Amino acid sequence: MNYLWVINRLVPDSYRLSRKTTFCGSVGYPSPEVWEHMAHRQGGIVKRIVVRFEESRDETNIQVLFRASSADAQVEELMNRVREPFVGSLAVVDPTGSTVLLPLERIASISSCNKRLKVLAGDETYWLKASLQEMEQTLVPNMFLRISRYEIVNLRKVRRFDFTMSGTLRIEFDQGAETWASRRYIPAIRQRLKEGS
Amino acid sequence: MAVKLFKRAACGFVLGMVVGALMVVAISFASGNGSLILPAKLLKMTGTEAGALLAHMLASGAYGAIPMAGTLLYELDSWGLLKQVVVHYASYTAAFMCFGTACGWIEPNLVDMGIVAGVYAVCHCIIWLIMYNRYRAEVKRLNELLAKTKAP
Repeated sequence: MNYLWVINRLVPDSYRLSRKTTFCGSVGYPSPEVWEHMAHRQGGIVKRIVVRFEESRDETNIQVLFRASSADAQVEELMNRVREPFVGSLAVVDPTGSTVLLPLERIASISSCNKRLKVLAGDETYWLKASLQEMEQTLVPNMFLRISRYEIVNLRKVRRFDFTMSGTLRIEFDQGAETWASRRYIPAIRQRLKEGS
Repeated sequence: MAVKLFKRAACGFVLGMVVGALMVVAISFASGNGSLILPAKLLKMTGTEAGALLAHMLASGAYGAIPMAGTLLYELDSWGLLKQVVVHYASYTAAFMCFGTACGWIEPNLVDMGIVAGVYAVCHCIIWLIMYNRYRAEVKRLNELLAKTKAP
């Protein structure tokens, strides 16, 4: 984790350093418009974020210091993002057409459907206009894994794997939903689970 | 995919020809009468031993190409293992029935065809059992790793 990674995890899109912004503003940090909307909805004020890098050759760790007038929701969110690198959220569209921020840990699977991506989180379905390849490049380190040409699943949401009599790999999620994967991805799943354990 | 199919079919064709030739040689040696043993139907069709041998090898090659190309079925992600094995078996058996009856390798009657279909069915059942158990073991390992990952 280098300083560029830390900075890019914190700043809104307009301040990102050498980071290609893809869909809905960004993955992991809400776009300034979404953040402002959420802050106003919660009655808060959106503070400007100033990011500074200080080189310290003697420092072996990365020290992140948050300085603000109070530890409000915005500061807490930023601190959580740094404290737990894999906590993030995805800006998706809910069935009513509103854009919402969906925490990554709630997502069970993302599959392609009619030129859009269907995001399954619990019993709810959301939509996202992006490509599966973009999601794979962004989400893979967060225990998301591609299990077929059309689907990425969150391994943390998987309850169990099953190999059926017909010879297909069935994946059961915690909330009861299930999906099917190709046998070809078994080695990749095994490797990812080994890394995760 | 088409290139892969062609490569496998070509490989199967060559292997089929080699196996066909070796079978003729082995049977001829086993008979002990010093001449090539070839299917009577082919001898009748071509008129000469050389022609019959060539026809036999070409038919063996074509018969070898079909199941070898059929192994690509096992790479179809959307098909389960059972479907892949069944379709491979069907193509394998159908190919042998066609070439076998045309070249005189088997008689066109239900008994001979039944024996061929039965033998191939047993072979494919064994293939399915081996692959199924192998994947079951791998999936069991996945579940163990999953439990470790989720352990607090």
